[in-house]
Amino acid sequence: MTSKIDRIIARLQKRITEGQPEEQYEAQQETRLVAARYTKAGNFGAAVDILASVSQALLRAGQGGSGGDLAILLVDVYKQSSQKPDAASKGRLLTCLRLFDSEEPTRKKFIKEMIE
Amino acid sequence: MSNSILFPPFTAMLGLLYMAFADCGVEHSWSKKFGEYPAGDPELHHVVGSLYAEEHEADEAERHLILGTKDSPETLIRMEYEWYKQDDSHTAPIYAARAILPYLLVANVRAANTSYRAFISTLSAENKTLSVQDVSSQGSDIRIFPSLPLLNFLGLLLLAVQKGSPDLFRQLKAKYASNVSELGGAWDSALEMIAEMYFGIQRPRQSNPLFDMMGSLFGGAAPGGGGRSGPRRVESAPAAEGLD
Repeated sequence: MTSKIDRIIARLQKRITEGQPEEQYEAQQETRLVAARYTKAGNFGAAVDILASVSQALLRAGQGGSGGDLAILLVDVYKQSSQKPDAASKGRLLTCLRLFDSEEPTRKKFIKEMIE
Repeated sequence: MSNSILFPPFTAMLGLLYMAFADCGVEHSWSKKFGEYPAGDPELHHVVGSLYAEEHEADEAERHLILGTKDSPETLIRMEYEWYKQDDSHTAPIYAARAILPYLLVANVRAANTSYRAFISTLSAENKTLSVQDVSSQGSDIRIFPSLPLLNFLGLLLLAVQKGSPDLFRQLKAKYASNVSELGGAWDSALEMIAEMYFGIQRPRQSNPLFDMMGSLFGGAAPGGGGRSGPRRVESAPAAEGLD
């Protein structure tokens, strides 16, 4: 099961680092779908792994809008799964936070959902 | 002194505190809803606030660093001091107060003290010609800056808070009344709340739900609520627990 998730993540990350913006956008859309499926099935750990990894890959690739969208979705999955703030759950969000460009509009909403 | 520096902190701070602690019916952020800190996770506040400080977003930095960790006061004061250096030299107390007074309002006396000490040590180190007198009074050492009366007021205010001495507070308010009034009321509501929180001095009653909420939140008694007298000192409040 874990290796399947790892394979999905690796494939999506590859499309983001090597792909054109159009492909990066598709990777984001696919991530939303896959994460929603896992969330619905109650497999929150898989949804969190995919959202965090792909969000960070998009933010690193300069796709702040798409990456921010998935980072906000990550916070939403935390809420749905009643995840408590601990080192791991906060660490994923702080990694995303540091990857945002300061001008990226979705960063504000991400911070708001996380802490405000 | 420009008004934009004087006025935002306390109105903004009251709004922030209201948002931080009140159940306003808005949906809570993740860390408030699922964490153990009603004002949000201190570590997240610290990192977010530090990020804003690096980006010179002072207002945003302040509202998060005030609710941060034990590392937050140093970061906040460094930002305030950098900001102060672009202003006239006599405005030092205004920038120091932007950390000290809000920390007192969230009942974090330790962070308020750390802020004060960090500010005056940087100020002394970077201004060798600034005149300073070290005074020993009632077993406490106080550094007095003859040219910066409001900075002395802040230092003595912290002393009064730690001693829990309403008399010392009243003396201070009287002695520095003209200096404080030169700020055009900017510190007034903060000082009223500090008077109530730390010295049990009743605020003039106002039908302001925000003030009432803040008062009850930080341990101020309801009006006519029994015969307790003497200082109602704040030992700890929700925000302070995560900060040390």
